[in-house]
Amino acid sequence: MTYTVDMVTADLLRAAAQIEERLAPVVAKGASNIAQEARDNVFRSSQWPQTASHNDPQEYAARNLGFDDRDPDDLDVTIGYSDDVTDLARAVEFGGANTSPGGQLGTALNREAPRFAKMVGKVGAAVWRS
Amino acid sequence: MALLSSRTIVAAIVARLQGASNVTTYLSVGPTPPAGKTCIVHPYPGNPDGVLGDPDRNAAVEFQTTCIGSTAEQALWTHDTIVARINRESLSGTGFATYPVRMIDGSQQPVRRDDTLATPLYVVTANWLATAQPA
Repeated sequence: MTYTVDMVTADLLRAAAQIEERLAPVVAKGASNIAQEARDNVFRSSQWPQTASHNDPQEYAARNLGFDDRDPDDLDVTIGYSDDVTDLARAVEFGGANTSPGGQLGTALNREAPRFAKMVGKVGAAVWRS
Repeated sequence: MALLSSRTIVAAIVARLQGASNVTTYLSVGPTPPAGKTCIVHPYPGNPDGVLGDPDRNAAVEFQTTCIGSTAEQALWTHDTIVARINRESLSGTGFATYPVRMIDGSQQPVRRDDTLATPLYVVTANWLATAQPA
């Protein structure tokens, strides 16, 4: 059977209609992985000395790190610290005059990016073939 | 072929910034005690980067500049001085040359007072990307 332009067009249209729905869980899982890894890293980081007598600011920052998937049907997620800890989050991520930057969100994002790209490729291929 | 050395790329960045007048640049560790009109470069180790046929050819080195001032205005001035010195500049060293160094969009943080010090200082941070290729 010849694969005609009309058939390619039909396949593309069908795949386009499905792709967003099929990718939404991949995006949510990717966001979850990034938030989880960044949280673990912030929690474990030795950026600031940990003292038993004080509330540990890093732990507080880590507990306020997460992701927000407001509409599970679209492909937008927000990953980061809650708005309540903006100043602390900046200090943890970017450091100060005497502390080095933590950069944990970016590190987690960079580690997830290739896995995410691979999964997007797999889903795309699956939708095309289905 | 060996990966490009992050150390030499970072050295070129710091050397370029050290040429800024009235601002002193440090690598990773600032002066003790911390002082205004200083910039600290915090580099990441760098990632291999490149084209399809040679994915490890280049080195993408991300780094942060932490610009410090004794007032908020001085911190912003220090940041401006650093930006004027390095933004869109191509750096070179032994065996490599970079594409124009660029600030990563949206990475600039608002000026913030660092209260962890006896005398508070103000800091402005921004993140940059230097992509080096073999020369």
